[in-house]
Amino acid sequence: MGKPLLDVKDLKIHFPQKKGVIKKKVTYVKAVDGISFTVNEGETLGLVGESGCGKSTTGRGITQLVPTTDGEVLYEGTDIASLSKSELRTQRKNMQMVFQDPYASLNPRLTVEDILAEPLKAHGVKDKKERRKRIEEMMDVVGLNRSFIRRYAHEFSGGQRQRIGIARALILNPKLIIADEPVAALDVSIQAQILNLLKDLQEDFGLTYLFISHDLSVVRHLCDRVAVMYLGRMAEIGNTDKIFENPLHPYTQTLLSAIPISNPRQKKERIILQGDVPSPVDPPKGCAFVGRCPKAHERCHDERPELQKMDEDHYVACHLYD
Amino acid sequence: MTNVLDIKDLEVSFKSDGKEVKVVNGISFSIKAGETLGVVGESGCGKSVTSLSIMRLIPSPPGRISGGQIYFNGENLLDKKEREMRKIRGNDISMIFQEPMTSLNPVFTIGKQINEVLLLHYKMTHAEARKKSIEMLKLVGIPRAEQIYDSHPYQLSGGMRQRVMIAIGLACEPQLLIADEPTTALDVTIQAQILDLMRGLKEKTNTAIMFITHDLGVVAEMCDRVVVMYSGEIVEQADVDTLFNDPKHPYTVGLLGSLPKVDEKIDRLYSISGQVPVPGSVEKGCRFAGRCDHVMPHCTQEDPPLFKMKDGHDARCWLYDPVHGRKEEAKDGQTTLGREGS
Repeated sequence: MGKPLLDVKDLKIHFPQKKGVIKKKVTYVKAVDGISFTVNEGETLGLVGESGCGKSTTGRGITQLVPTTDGEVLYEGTDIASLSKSELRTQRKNMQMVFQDPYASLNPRLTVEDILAEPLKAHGVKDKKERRKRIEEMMDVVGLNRSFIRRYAHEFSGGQRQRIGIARALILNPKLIIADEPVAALDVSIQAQILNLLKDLQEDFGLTYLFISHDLSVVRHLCDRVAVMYLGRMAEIGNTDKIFENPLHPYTQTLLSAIPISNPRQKKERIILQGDVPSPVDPPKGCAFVGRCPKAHERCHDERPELQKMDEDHYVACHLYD
Repeated sequence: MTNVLDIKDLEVSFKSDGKEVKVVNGISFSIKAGETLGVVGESGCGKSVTSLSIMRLIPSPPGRISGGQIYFNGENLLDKKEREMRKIRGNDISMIFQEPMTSLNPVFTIGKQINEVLLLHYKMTHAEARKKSIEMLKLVGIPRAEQIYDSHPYQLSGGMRQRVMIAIGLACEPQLLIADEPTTALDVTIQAQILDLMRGLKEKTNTAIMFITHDLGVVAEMCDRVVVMYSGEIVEQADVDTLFNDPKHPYTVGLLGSLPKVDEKIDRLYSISGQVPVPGSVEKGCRFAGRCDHVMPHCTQEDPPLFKMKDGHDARCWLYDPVHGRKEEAKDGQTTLGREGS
């Protein structure tokens, strides 16, 4: 694997919530509460976890779509959070996002050409012919028929819209693509088409992906490394095969055991968790998972576990392994 | 075992732009008492319309049931008056929907919404209904049931809301429960809780379940038998073991092949090219012909009937026709088709 492209250090993203009669009491939703990870050039890092664990907020924090509270986001060594607005704009050329809902993330009143021209205009491609040429090339790359260039986004099916979304992200030749649940809204047969497309594009253009997903089968299929998040913190991170074959954190173990297997002959031991994810406003003092963990002991209530190295490229934040 | 539900040649049409389009095109299947039948297919294949037809909840106009019969315990539901249907809905047949937030009324307490079905179908006093409702909440594994009884839906998490929906659905001990994507909006760990709950309840109450989903993993775990729908038709039906291990229709094979697996790493997923045809756009021939790898000239000429593979296993594909099917392909169709799937 290549050198680190993105280095996230102790990232915190807190959202203030004003409460009380005169809105003076402020509490914080600790959506992301001190996570660190690295994405190396040319690899795919999967960011997984359940709703509300902060995985999407992390993605948005990296591109500065939401302001970060604390910590560093280093892209090729530069801290993104310290950049001025115009510097950030230039930097964004290198990191683009693909969103979950292809119905909501494309403007239905723009044609494919308008949608794909926007990033080019924003980044100074003034010649109309040049823009047209790049748009047509990009349509070929993502498998959209060139003759659709004047069609409106609402005329396309979900899978084709997601291809437009991918084309929009790729048209500026970024190095890093942050894909936030790009296949979650698609049917199985279309999902397979888009996953194959993402894989081909990575090979052809040497892209680096941060792939945010709740679907562990998809993550296993696509990602080289996986980071498991729970309630704004990192539970386990490492090589995909190591995590899927030898999950160490009790949360990762539960998550993996909960996936339905598409083979009726295969029965497996399932760990059923009690209760729900606690509120990120008032997370447990010790380990975030303590309230639902089948293996919790006294220390877990008081002391927050830090990531510790268990094996080459396999880290876990759990007191069981101290 | 007797059949609780028997659907015969059901056709449902919707009017759009002055034209009537058939979205469900002559489907027949049955569900036995205590059985869980999975209905799978992609968006727009007609699976939800089928379930709404059973409840007679198709919005009309623009929709209308244009043919066929739906027998529930031997009586045709399509002959029932609206008043008679109201007695059946929620009582003999009940339904759980995908989105628990939008199917619960936000302004009423949980208790009131469970009581509603009980008071409507049983001669009960409010005190009795309250007792039964709290019992139902406990049955579906809700902690602090008395307290939750007085809560509003917004105070509960998604998983808890879905438990409440199941409690409402099962309150009158229905003979048939239609679950339309009941776990799609939930996280995997919560999904595992809900599926576990439904399995347990089924064993206790012997309710027949029609489980509509697009998630083949859920089907493999929950269902006894499976119906695969494509573009308003049943393309294959079989018991769950046969369907997953010896699928016959190229669409089923493709669908299983396009699933990423957790337990093995595949370099490239099999993908079915193209997309589902718009209802009414295929005029003759097999509706899957445009996306099928095994398409033969005859496929675009005539709509294939269901061919019998063995008892309880049918596939709608010309490959298995002794006259039109390619003989060599039909003979070892299993191996040819099977390879793509793996």
